[in-house]
Amino acid sequence: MESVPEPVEAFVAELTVQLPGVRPQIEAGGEKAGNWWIDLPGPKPITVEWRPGVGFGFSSEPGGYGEGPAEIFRDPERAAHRIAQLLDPASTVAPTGLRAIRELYGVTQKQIATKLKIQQAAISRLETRGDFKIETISQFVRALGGHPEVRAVFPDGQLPIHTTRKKTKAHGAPKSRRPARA
Amino acid sequence: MLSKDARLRLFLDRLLSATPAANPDEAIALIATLLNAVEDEHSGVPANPSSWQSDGRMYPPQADMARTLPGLPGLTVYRSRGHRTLIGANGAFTIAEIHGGKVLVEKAGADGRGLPTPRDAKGA
Repeated sequence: MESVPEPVEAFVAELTVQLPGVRPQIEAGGEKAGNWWIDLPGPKPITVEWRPGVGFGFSSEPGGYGEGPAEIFRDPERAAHRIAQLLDPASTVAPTGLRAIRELYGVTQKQIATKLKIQQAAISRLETRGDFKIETISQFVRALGGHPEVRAVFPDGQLPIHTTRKKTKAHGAPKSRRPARA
Repeated sequence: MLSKDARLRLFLDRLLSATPAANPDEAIALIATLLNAVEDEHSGVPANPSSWQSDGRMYPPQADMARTLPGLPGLTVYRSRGHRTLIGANGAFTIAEIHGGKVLVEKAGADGRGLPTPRDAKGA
């Protein structure tokens, strides 16, 4: 009988602290892949997959056949905290909103306001808004230590969309103020 | 493009209509071929099976996800986030939902027989 990997044990231990009523069901995955499944039954069932070397993957919504996870976390405690956010019936915070992300990374409104050089009240307004500029979300994510990414996906390929234009030679480098020497 | 639910229904319909598989390799190939075709035709998302993260596309079971079951020789299970696919030595297979256990498709092998039951495995 295979032994449950330590990260999975750590995840389950933290999850049962965050959500005392949850009863995780652990199942070994592929014999070669070495992955493990943690099923969380309930009114809103969630299945978590742990992959060695990658981390914990899951989605807040049911997926299609063989569909991958929407969210991936390397750290078992962070993954457990995120699951608790998604499953907490008492939460009044939108589980995929900016406030939930900020709280997941343990940052206060005051701290992120200081980083962004704006008033705390502005953070509060931002977190309750329903629509944002891409650059606003990008600054928020960077202030939390993250890396924002926007991608365009087409039937025949996909590519990133850069939100700020970098000046390169192809677009014309800035002209020097000094006249060229002969 | 079709919705994910519509694509899943189309995939399951094509599975039921397809010629039965004679062994596990044919069964997994049948599942992969039909699902990839549906997704290529109707998902609007290019195939990228090496990426774990969801891209809105459905993917067939991968070989490294196979697991054999003690006490049920000849039976292989492929687990995914929402489904369990069981494949028998004769090419028969079922796909069922993890939460709730609803069987989405049951297909006999080329020999006309379905998956063995635990009773069959024990030779009772």
